[in-house]
Amino acid sequence: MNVRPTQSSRFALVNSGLSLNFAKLALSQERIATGKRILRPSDDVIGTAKSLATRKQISQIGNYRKAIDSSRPYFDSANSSLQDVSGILTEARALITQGMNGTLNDSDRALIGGQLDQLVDQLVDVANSQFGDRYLFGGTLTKEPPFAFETVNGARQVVYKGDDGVQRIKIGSGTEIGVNIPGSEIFGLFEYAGAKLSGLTGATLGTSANQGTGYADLIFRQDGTVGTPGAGIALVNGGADDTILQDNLLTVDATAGTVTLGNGTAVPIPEVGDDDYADFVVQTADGAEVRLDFTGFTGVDTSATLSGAGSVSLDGVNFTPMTFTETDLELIDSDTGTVVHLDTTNVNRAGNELLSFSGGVSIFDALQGAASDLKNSGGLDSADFLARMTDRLGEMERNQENALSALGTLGARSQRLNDSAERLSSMDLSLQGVLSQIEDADLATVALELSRAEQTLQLAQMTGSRLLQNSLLNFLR
Amino acid sequence: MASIGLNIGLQALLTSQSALDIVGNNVANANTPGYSRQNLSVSARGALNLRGLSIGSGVRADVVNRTVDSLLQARLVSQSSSMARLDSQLDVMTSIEALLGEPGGLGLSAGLDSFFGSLSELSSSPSELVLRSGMVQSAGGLASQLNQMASGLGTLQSDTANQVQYNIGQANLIAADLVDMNGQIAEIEASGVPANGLRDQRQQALQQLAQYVNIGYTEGSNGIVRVTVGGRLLVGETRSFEMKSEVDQNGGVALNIEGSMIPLNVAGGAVSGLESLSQGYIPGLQQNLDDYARNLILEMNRINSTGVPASGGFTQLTAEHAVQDQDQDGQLRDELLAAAGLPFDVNTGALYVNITNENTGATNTQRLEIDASSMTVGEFIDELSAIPGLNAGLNGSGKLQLNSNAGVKFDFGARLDATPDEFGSFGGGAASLGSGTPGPFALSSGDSFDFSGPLGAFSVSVATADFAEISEATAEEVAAVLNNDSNFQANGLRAVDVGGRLIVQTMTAGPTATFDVAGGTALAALGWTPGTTVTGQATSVNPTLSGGYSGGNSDQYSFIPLGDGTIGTTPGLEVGVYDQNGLLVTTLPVGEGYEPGTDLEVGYGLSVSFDFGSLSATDGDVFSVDLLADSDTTDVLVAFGLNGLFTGTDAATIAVRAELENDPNLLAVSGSGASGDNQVLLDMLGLQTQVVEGLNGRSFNESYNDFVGDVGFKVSSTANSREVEGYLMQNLELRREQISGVNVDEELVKMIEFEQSFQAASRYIQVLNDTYNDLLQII
Repeated sequence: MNVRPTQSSRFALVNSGLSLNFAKLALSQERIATGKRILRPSDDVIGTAKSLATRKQISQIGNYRKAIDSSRPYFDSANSSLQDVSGILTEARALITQGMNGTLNDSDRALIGGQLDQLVDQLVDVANSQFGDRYLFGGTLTKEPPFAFETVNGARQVVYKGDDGVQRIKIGSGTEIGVNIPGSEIFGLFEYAGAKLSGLTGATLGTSANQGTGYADLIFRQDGTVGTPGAGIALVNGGADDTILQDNLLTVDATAGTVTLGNGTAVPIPEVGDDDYADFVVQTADGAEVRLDFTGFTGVDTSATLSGAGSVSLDGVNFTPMTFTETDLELIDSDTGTVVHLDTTNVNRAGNELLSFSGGVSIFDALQGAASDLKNSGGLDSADFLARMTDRLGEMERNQENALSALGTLGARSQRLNDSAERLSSMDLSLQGVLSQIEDADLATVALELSRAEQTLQLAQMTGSRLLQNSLLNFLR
Repeated sequence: MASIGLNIGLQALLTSQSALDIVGNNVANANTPGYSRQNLSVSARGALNLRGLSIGSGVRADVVNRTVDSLLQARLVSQSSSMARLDSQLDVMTSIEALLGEPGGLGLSAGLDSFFGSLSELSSSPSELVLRSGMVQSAGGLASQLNQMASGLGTLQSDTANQVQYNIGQANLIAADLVDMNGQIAEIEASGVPANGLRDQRQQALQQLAQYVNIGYTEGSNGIVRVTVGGRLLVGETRSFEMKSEVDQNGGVALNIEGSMIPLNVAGGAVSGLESLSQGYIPGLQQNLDDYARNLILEMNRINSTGVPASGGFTQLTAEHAVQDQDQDGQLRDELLAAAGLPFDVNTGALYVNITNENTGATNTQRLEIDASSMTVGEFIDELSAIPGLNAGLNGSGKLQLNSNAGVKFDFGARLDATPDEFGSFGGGAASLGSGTPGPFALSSGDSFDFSGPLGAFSVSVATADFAEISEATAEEVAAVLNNDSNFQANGLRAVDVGGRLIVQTMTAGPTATFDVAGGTALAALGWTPGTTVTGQATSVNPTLSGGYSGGNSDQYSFIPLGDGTIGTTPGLEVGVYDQNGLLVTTLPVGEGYEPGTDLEVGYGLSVSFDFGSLSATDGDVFSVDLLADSDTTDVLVAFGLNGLFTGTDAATIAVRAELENDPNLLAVSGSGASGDNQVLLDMLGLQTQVVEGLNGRSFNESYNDFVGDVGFKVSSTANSREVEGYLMQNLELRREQISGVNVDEELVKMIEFEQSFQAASRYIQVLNDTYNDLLQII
């Protein structure tokens, strides 16, 4: 090939060689100075795409970790509040058990009742605990205290004003976790197991279903005794203070000198001059009473049927008369929404029945109910009292279990958050490594490139100058 | 002694002199760009017949030639065009790449990360004002980044147009010069002498011109070069034609040439490169960016517009987008919703509006059916105003404005109606008789209902005029007829439509409320038996829903008892739940063993509880509830720009709603209105990875990555092509130098050659002179 070099072509070649090497040197220098291999998308298109995607992942993981971190204080705070609750309930339980001790008198019991009231206040305070300005147990209504005292039907009750909402945070691409447990689940989780009557009136529940929450008092009132005892015996106050209901046979055996009411034991007839001669109480085996005035007693045998009329009330205001043939008497309290059906066939004495909706009592109702029973224990029969307190204790234990299981749920969630945080942190680490691999310049390699480019440049400069210097002119004279 | 000897010597001397001059010229121009080495072509003069001998008459300098390869020159010209085209494109593309700012932490990618990061933070504590402000700020940051990119691209577009204008100007100047050069060359060559220097200059000019536009040229026999560009004449015999560039409405550049009405199509050169960018590539990028911004606005606003602000509802909302008077009649209310000039489409579907009474806390949900192709803006406004407590209208700028009455708040959230049995048609306290099956009912004109109420027996008849189509009478229409009857009203009865079924009930409740349906010809169509008596009850079942509907599609569930009985008492009593297509979803056991008030799971996160009461399938007890996955399937809120997060329609106009910046508490991030509810935020966060229809099934992250990748790829492939072209050019120039370049050493050798020849010639003349002198001596 006939190659004919000229000055210009030689100059051009040397020039282009030098500028190429300068460019390589400059690139290596840029890479070292920034530490990055990819400075613009065109340097490595696929690498840029990978880098962008990896950065997005890293940023998302950062968000999830932040969300977990910022919810931790709420978990810790809720945890410690629930532990407080558990402590309070343990104390309450001890008090109730103490109060059920038969050796205490009324004033002792009232004292214990007062202590229980204080525990209720404490419990409400804990239930309204806050973190920052957020109420922990109100569901998603976090700005107002979730538990408040309100007067319902004349009684001071604790009412839940929050909602059932669960606030969720994202801790993974499709994973959300709830950060709160609504107060209704901790302090008022209802597992309805049917209504229960505890009392001594002989009333039982009817055939239809019942509905309600907490407790209600059924008042069985005696509306007067009908019938004449005979043998000159009169009813005190016309039977207004008697507590018998339905028919009861009054037998006076003058020979034996006893008087018997229904299935009760025979009691000796009072003597003239006794304190209760004019106002003698005769009881049935169930404790239903008739008060008799023996002032005009003629001393002969007599046997008469005394009938007690009665009516029953659920709300203490409206009384429904009983015929004692009802198997499914419906009583409704429209204020509380309570519906109860009664079988009145075996009702034989007036009194109060505690209607409790087992599984439907909130912890506050159970404690408040126990406190009020302890303070008014004077008005209650001891067997009645015991029955009621046992019921309330049972509900309290159920609620304590709830609180503990909520504690367990929080603990499990907290654990899950910790696990997620750890996993996310290790994912973050490995992704940072991937990003670095994609984006960062390997300093050793680039340093080598730099020195090689420098060397090449120097060589090019040297050879270029040699090339350019040669000319015939050097040798012509 | 003939005198030709001296002549020969003279010619030789002169020729050597000329040759030396030419060598000197070559050496002087060794570095002149475009210079082709010249050489003297000499030939021997013809022989003369002297003294019987044929003796040559010396040397003749014929012509000074340039050593050129015209084919190579032509290739250089076209290669010049190709390289210049790529150069100009690479310039602009590198600027675009710099505009993106990736993969460093300054580009749109970082802005998106920061925005979603602030959303995530806010979702942990939705009621904190500081975090709300932060979220609004970072949304604003994202919007302004998009604005900047849009304006950057716009600036590049106009810069490109300016560059084209400048280049065209330069090209026109060169073309004018070419005409001059043509003229000069023609003049000189007319006398037969090649105009070497000028030809070199002309070739240089052609190569320079080719850098601007791709040219074709031919040389005529008169030495004049005609230049064409894009098939049109640029430089003709006597004149050049001016090229012009114009900017069209999209900012793209269009080229024209004098003397032709058709737009000029240039295939190479810097102008071509810039033109194709301004017509195709840059508008393409702008469109992609606009689509991205538009979909961001649409998707974010869709979610945000059905959210509820911290205050629990709105008392006033003004739309961002105005209704346009499309039919130019000066009226805005008569525009169809589907064609009202709104920037986003309105679809056919339903919109739910919640009205909350602040004093009682009760919420009432209203459903608006919207058929975008037949409902006008005016009708829409009227339907909104018909909702009690709400007033709607267009303000002076044609923007929709909603106001609520005092003590009333409104919002568009997807609420679950907790007490859906508003008429008590499901075991309610009133005496209630339902039609058992939903309409339409096959009635005939004159059909009658014979009722018997507290005031006695009476009859209500139906007429064809009361119905759109009497043989397909809807429950709503029949209810309207019944309610209009004065006897019906007087007897304390009312008729309602529940889930398409007709319900007739007493307005009072309790065991004393009663009426009966004695007979009537209309009964058969409704499935009622003549002589049916219904009575109320003391308690009512009060179905209560709880939880939240988590299904993907909106639906309507109807609850119908599968028998007659009492809640919690009758063995085997069940309630069937049916979806809007009539398919059974589940059966709920509410008979013996069920404790009234207990929650029963329905599905999709829903639970229902029933209070104590009696249900009757024979009496047609039913209630239905709307389950909303999306409380605005029409996108009418987005189209008008109500309660959105972003305003604007594309990348240049996207911004955060101004009122949110002033009062971050207006940020509607709660799904239900509760202060700790963050459902809207979680939905927004889900958008990062969710597939977006408007972005061809890519998610926001993926779409942006594609955008960056495209730009990067274009830059790198253009740079590669440019490198290749550069090598080719180098190669061609080397070849040219080989052929036409001056090698100084070569010239020096020639110089010695011609110097010696000059010396020889002068020696010869001296010798001749000596011989003359010798001769003269003899005389």
